[in-house]
Amino acid sequence: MEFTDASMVPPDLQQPLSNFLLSLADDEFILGYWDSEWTGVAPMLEEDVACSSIAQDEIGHARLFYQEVAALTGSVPDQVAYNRTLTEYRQVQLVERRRGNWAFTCARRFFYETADQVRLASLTTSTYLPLVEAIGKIQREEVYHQMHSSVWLNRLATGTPTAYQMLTEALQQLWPDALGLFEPFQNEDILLAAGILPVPSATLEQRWLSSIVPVFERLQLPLPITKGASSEESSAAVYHPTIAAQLGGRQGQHSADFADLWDQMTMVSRMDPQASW
Amino acid sequence: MSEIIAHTSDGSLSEQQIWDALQTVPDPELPAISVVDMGIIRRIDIDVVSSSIRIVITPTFSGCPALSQIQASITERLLSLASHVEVAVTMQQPWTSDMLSESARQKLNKVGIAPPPHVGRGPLLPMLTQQALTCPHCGSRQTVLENPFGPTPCRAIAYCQQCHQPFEQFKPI
Repeated sequence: MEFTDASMVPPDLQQPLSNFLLSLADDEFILGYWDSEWTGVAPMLEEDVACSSIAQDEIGHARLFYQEVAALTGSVPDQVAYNRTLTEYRQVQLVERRRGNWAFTCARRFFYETADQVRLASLTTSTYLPLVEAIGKIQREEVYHQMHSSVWLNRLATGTPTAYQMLTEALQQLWPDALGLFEPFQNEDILLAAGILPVPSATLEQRWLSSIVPVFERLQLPLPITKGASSEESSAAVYHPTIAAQLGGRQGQHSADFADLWDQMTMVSRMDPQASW
Repeated sequence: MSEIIAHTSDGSLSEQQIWDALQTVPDPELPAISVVDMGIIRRIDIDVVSSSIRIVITPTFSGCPALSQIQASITERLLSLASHVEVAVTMQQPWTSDMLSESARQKLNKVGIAPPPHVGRGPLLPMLTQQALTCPHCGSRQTVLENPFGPTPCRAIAYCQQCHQPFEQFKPI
């Protein structure tokens, strides 16, 4: 069964779908928020422009998803974006770390963009059609983000020893968070049964790893992943992390960095809930 | 633009009048180009009985900050033709740079922005990174892409090695 709009969603699906859309929206919103901080202070003018432009795109994508949540819950996008307590946000912890140095930003973007690409591709067959429409638009824009993040990973990995070292440190720091990118969504079984989520997160994680492992190998970057023998005829897990994933974001558990960001970004709406801008 | 449908329940306010009016509404970020030539008008509905016009538009980029301004400009312009104007936004048939009209392409060139190459159903990136861009100032194809990101989400920055001018390239999207 396909859902052509919010009004077709049965009551028992509304909450799982809404939380799922919030997960997609919050990832883009929070990452866009941090990356927008490079405006004016990026290492070179071109990157100043690029980061601002990418951040603007991400926040625009978040707005599309927030609109869908608002349609489901009878709210408006600004309210959905700002009027929530800390634990009601659903982003993974990777995106909520402070922007760090340039290598950290580039490393995080590479993890996120490659994972986002895998996730968006899988959602083009979702039974929730407003989501499919939004993704049709988003994918065309993300092409440029993916190119940007790949260029920078390569540039830092093959650049000066300092660049390589800073990138390596950032990647080592970020791997546990990166392995949390495919933390299952809340009520994932319900979403899968309804076809809203066409592919389980565990399968997506394998697809994602199979896309980035060769890149890390080629560039000799830290890779806490072992490759298992591919099992018989099934496509069971081939890549096994050797470190623990940082999970909890999808359940509303967040870091101190996000608490600070939340305080900052919701300040105006908390001071004047009726404000419009 | 064959997919665009205009509906009228009576002949007294014509679809053409609305298209003509919309031709005078500029894109806020590219004032030389109208919202019609940008290809963002998806649908026009006219109800003469209640004197209402409903326009459906689609953004060029989903994070386009000019969208609410475009909605306001269209509303303001069409209120001279009808009592009620609604401008809705859709993501159906998402905008692609192939939807720019021929006239828009010529106007872009005139204001120093290279029009986007036609994409069709092919991949986007090779259109920007793997073929020579054409300088809108001197027409040379001895150019380099400096930055795929520019002053607005829809523009990249390039440089002409022939006339030594930087120029903006409308991104294929």
